[in-house]
Amino acid sequence: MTAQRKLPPMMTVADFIDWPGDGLGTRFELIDGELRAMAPASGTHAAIQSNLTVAIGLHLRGQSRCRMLTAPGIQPRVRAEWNFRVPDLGVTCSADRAGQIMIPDPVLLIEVLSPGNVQETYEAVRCYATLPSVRDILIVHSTRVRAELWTRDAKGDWPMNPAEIDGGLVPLVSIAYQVDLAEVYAGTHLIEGNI
Amino acid sequence: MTAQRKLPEAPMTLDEFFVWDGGGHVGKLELVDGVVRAMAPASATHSIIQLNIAAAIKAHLRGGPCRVGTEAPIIPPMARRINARAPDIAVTCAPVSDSPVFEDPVLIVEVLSPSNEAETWESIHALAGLVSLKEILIVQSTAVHADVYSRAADGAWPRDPVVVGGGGTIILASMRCELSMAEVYAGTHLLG
Repeated sequence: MTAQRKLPPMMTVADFIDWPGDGLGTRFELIDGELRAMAPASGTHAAIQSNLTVAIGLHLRGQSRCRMLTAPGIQPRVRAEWNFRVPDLGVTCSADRAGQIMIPDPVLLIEVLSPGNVQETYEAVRCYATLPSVRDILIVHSTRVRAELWTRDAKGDWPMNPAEIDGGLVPLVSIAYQVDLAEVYAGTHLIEGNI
Repeated sequence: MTAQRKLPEAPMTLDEFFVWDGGGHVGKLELVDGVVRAMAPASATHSIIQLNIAAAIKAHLRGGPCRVGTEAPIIPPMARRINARAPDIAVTCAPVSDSPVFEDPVLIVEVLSPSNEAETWESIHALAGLVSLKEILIVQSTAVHADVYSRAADGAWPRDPVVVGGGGTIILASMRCELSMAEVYAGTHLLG
């Protein structure tokens, strides 16, 4: 038997934070007041996410006041009261505070792309682009070795197309670091003979 | 009998979108990551509000370099050549050109209808990343209510809008334009 659980109607971020969830442990985002369930990720997706966390986390440790965060809460500026998005990874250089749920001023946001959520991911990326602190947005594919890197130019504009990188180093100006795709895809089925 | 109209198969590029015959659709079409999005038909109230605002802004801009357009294609940031949006009203001050696109908009206005609220907000979020954009005006078509987002001096958008209700005045500071709610909703049942 399937237990059908009703989701609540339009919610603000404050309601969302207080909401106990659907009782099944599903993770949700809040998009303009509506709940959107986050699809379960593949093992490859999880490995890539973990590799990125380790590589960037180690780079930041000790030499930077910036911090790596997994599944950080992000509020876009316009209509903030109704939106709470959760990228796979983020870096902020603002201090951690007790009880803080949304991360302030992210400089780098990373999404690991899955075949099931391509359109939602690009929609999210355009939302992240409205945050003035964000300098790099990185999309990492989970079905092939490919990174798409969006970097703000000196005027603050975003390019029409991302830099597409299929091997080697990905230059992240936001944290002055080049992450190696061999490290990002290490241990996945995608790496053999690929780099 | 219902005439089933099929949208073309994705992905469509911007170049293809601009020469496409529209597949028989009437009304506003947008290109979202290569997929054509047809917006639900607007109500009469929506249509009156849209024209009221466009006419008031046009009168305000007369004699200057800026122009107002309705449902003109605008390319959001990070478009990958497969995205275009068409806000109900937009203002540009870019040099006049034969481009199919409204370049460097400084203002976009959306009139919200219940049938397409989610799509309209998606479009607003997508366009908010445009560096040229100074203000966003969102007007309800089911109540006398407007939200105004104006960029701060440092370029950041506010978290929450300035809310304008019945009897109030919308202030578009970037264009030094004031619109009374009576003017915006003139001729609609909402002013009753």
